[in-house]
Amino acid sequence: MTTALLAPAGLTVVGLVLVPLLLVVRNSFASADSYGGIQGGFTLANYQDLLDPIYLKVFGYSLGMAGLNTMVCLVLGYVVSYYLASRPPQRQMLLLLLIILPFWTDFLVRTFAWINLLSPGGPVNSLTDAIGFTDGPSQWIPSQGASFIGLVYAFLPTAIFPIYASLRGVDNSLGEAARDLGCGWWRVHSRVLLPIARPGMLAAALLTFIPTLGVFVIPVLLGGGRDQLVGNLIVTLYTEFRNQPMGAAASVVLLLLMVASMAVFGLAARRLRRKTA
Amino acid sequence: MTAPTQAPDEAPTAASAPAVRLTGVGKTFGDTPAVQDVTLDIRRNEFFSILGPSGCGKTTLMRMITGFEVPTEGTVELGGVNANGVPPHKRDLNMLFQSYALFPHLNVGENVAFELKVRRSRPKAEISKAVTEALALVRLEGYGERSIAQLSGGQRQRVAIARALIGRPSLLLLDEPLGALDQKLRAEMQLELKKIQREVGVTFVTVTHDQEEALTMSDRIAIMDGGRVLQVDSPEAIYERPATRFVADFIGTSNFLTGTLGGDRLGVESLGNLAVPRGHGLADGTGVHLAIRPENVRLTREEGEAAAGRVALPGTLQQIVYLGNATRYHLTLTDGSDFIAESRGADRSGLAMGEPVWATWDPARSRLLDQ
Ligand SMILES: Nc1ncnc2c1ncn2[C@@H]1O[C@H](COP(=O)(O)OP(=O)(O)OP(=O)(O)O)[C@@H](O)[C@H]1O
Ligand SMILES: [Mg+2]
Repeated sequence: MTTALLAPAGLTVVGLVLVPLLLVVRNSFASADSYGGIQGGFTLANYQDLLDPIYLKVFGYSLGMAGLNTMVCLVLGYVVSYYLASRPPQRQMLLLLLIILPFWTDFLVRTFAWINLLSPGGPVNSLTDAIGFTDGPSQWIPSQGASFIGLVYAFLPTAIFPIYASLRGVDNSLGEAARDLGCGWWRVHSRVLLPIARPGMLAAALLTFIPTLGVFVIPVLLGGGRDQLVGNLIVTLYTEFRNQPMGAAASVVLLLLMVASMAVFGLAARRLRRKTA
Repeated sequence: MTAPTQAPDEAPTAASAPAVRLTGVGKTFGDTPAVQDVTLDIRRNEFFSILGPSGCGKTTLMRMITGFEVPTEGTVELGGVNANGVPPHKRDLNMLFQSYALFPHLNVGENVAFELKVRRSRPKAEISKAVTEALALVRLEGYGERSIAQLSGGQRQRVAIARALIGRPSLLLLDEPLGALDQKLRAEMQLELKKIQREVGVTFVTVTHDQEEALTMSDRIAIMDGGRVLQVDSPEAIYERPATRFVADFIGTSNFLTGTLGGDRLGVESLGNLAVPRGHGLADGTGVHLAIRPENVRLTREEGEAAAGRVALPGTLQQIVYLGNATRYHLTLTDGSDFIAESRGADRSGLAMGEPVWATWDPARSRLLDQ
């Protein structure tokens, strides 16, 4: 009975997730024909090729970028969430809406908007000129910095929501109680509010770190495609190099990285729960 | 506990100074005055209550003592030292929040130890001993490992008290400490708080809008209304000798007769000239209220039954209400106003509703109020 009811869902999962996944895994062990197609057979060559320093650098760079992006998003996310949670309730709704609003616009469009914003003589440039930080048109795009701004921009709301969720129910008097018991503002955060926000921070880290590894639009549009993330590497391998087996191998490695980081976050969450229970 | 407000070189003044001295303290939010011109002293080791109706500024006054609000006027002195501008975490006092504000990520013991750990004023071994003692003080021995979520309302409050007292502040402020508890637990905790206060010898300042609570627990009470302190006195004095009509009405129940003073008599329109207590010191012609407590009023069938020297007013008995420990009689006087009499225990008057009666009282037990 239950098996019958679960069948459609099961079939969907098998058909849409498992089969393509297995195909990718299978292809990563295949050798390529001269046009880059799948030739079959079994070889570890694709993975060995990925050990080339050029590719290793991409993986290292991706992990670093994802880590940095996660850190910046966590810090900004905490600051914004704390600010939000300490506003009066109606104000909170309004501010939250402002954060959600961009989600209703296509991501590509928003990334292009950043190209305009950061272009030489664009709004950001005019602003930095006005405050004397720069002098005349500046070439900020494409650059690693622009690419990083794009990443933070893309993931900040995702980081804000879980952190805000863990802080918003918190009674205002907790912070006052901490001050009353001898905490200056820094210790109010480090001893009380941050620990309370920790589950939300963990969720935010998970939602930021893993997806950052697979991003490919931002480095191309804002970074000029020079410093690539794993996502870019996969696209390049599939399309430009026309080397499907190697693209598949890179995908499998990305998948393993994601699973590994999920395991790390999961473990951290378990430890956190045990501590607070 | 490292209080700059009680530096050793200040000791000579600090030793004799009141725990709290407020001088002309006021607080205005935007253009609404929440507290106006409050001047009062809170003595060392006394149990002091701030009592008043909702919105009268009690919490605001207390928050100015803790430092969470900055007065817009006047000065707050703690232990004889001006505390204006001293942030809350540097004041030698603690607050018990109405919501208890226990930290959900810490267990009971960690909550209680919080202040000692933050202030790093004592070695680790002493901290755990202090926690055990603090938990014993509030009768929660062995609860150290529990999580906050596992506690009942009353237990949470005890934890909050232990946490607030562990650093032995010289002052503990409690904002409606019993507001969230049910009636029975409330009565129990009132006595308990009083007992704890005596044990630790710390000045307690509580905020409440429950008069019974204030009367039960306090050494002295400040009555507030509309942002002002109307009277600061012992519970007996507040009850027996209220300073204003508001106080007489707010604490317990009072009947009021309003009129104009002439010698030892009060001229009340359509009720006649009534005897008032002697030696009131008010000028003839002053408009005043005569306050009479219901328990000082006796009812008789005939005017002549009243003892000599008692004031007697005719009326009609409207209702008899049995209160358990007392019976309350609601009358209407001849001018149409309501009047209340009360006797201990069940009704033994033999009076029936609708019957004409006389309300009588000893003028010495009534009180004249000129505001
Ligand atoms: N932060 C604030 N901003 C503006 N107005 C305030 C603020 N805090 C208090 N008030 C106003 O000041 C007045 C006194 O408030 P307060 O909280 O001190 O009253 P209270 O006596 O404690 O009342 P309750 O018994 O209901 O707790 C009220 O009119 C309130 O609306
Ligand atoms: Mg209040």
